[in-house]
Amino acid sequence: MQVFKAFFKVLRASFPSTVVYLAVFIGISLIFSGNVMNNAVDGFTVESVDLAVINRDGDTPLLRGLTDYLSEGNHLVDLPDDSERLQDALFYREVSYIVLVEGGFTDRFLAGESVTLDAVKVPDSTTGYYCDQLIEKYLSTARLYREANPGLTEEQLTAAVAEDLAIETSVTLKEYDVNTQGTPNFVYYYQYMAYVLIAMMILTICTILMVFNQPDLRRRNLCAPLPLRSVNAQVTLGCAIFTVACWAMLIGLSFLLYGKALLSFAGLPMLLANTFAFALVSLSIGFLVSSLVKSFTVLSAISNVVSLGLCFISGVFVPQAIMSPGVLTAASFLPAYWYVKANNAIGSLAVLTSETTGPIWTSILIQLGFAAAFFSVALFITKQRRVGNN
Amino acid sequence: MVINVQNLVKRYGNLLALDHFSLQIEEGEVFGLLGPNGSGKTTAINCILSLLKYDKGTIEIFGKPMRPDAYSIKQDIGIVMQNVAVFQELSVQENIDYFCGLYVKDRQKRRELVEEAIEFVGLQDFRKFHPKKLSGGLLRRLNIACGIAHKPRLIILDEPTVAVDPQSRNSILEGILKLNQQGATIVYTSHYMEEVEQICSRIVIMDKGKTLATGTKEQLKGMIKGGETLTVELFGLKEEQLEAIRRLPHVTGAEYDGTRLTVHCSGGAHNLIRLLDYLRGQELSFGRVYAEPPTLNDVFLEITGKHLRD
Repeated sequence: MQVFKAFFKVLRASFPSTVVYLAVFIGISLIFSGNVMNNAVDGFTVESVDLAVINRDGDTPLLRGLTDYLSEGNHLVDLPDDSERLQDALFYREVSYIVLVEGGFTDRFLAGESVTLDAVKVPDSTTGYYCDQLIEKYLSTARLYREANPGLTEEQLTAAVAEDLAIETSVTLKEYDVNTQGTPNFVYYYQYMAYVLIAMMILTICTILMVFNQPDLRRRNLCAPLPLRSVNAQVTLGCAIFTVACWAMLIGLSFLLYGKALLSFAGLPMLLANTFAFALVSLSIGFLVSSLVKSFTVLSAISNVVSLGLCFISGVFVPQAIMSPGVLTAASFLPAYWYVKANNAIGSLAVLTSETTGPIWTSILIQLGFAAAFFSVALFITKQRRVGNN
Repeated sequence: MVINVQNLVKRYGNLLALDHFSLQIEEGEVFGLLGPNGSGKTTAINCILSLLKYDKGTIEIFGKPMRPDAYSIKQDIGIVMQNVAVFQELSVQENIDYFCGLYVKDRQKRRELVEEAIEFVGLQDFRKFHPKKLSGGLLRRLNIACGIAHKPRLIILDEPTVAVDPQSRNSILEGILKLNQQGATIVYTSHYMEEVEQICSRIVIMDKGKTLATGTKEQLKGMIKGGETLTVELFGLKEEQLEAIRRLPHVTGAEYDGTRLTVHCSGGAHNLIRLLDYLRGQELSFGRVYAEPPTLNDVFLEITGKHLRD
């Protein structure tokens, strides 16, 4: 097992660069996980907004009903209909939202015209959007009753809307012993793991394989009473052990960081399977790159370009949800896309059924397909080169 | 017979690298493959080691056909490549241990062999060094140690002294002779005729993939008409005196450039005495006098019409 032992001695020499990648990864993961944990939603409180209604239409039942609805949970402030006063009130945050009801609004609304209410609000504020939604909800419901029952009087319509909007239902949030809601924070760790796996694998595996594939060393090994297949088997075994060790180390680290949450996560086996499949993909990419690259000096650059390029386009750093369909279509030809897709699906798993887990296993199988394809291409190139050398 | 190569033909496309090349090497010899760069020495070695497929011919080592899977033969061969083939990531000791371990499984025995190899090439003070920290000469010595650590019966050294300083070169050549004295058969390829003359008991001169001549250095020098070359520094030699020198016994040619007289002689004794007697008789005063025996370069020159390093 001389070749196998030499494999790890060469690995020892390239260890510092691997450690740098690992340190960067841990740093990024901790920062992102910290952000996610700080943003965790663990309760709900209704927002109370200071708002004013400037009624230029008169005291109609519809507007009375709207005003009553808006006053529920919010604080209505009485303001005179003076534009300068209104602007001051908004500027000094006396109110955050002012509804302006123009004259004739009720008649036009009841007549079926498409009318809207004007509003003055703090630009881009959440309270502004919240009040917009409340008004829209009230008017939409009123519009619905008006369309459904044209014979209703204004009072009846207002009463029906008030009754409708008063209906509440109790909501129970089911949790699987996970403290946070939404995407668990360790899912982000596993997402960034794609980058560190691929970067470490390309750099380390390529360095070692390029050392063993140096023409002089290769020829020297061929002079020894050792079958070529034994040399290749020992190198392959070394690569396999290194891959499993890297994967296990990163998984172990995730347990250290998110132990309890991770252990109670129902999708853990799929999370592990997904990362292991991607570790094999990374190994195969390492094989492929080593069969193409001949110079150690360009290896670092290629490693960065391939790992960062793959991860950026596949949604490791940028959520797939905000990527354009064109980019996603292009990314679907890359294994990292399927890794991220599976990881996101695992992260949003509510229940484990064949319907919910099926697409995840499909993504994992596609990754394994990519790994097999990359291995095949690498072997073909190596074989062609060997034949050429003869 | 240790190596028996018959009618070896190797083509690289249209280029004929080995043209019916034959070679027989007996046990205990230091055999030299001499030829200019591109003459086919390394191709011949690569074919002998089954690193290259050849088009025609047979190769036997230790009386058995040599094939890529002839591991029992490979077990007894040590190879020192033209280019230094070591791991830059491993120390001197680890490198020697690695290559020795490809042949010797027993760990204790290997440890002893590695120590012996380190001492043999004089790298005791550098055992923990990595190759990139070694000078060119030390690197070559490491290359040799990696090739001979397992004490092979046959050692093939392919231009092991390329780009090595004279001191390291002498050390390497002495080491090779020592290996031969310990019982190893040596095949030594080089385009440095001085090295081949210095250590080889038998030599094959090759060019363009062909064997031009084979024999001991004395036999090879005996094959050519040219013998020793005499050089005398002197002034005022007249044309008729130069003609008279050309007519002296055993003189095959003479040139004079105004300061230096060069006289080529065929075999025969007292050529120098006869020449100096003539110059004294003509009352010509002369300075330094050189007498050079024929070299392998002269042999190569006469056979091919060109110098070894052309």
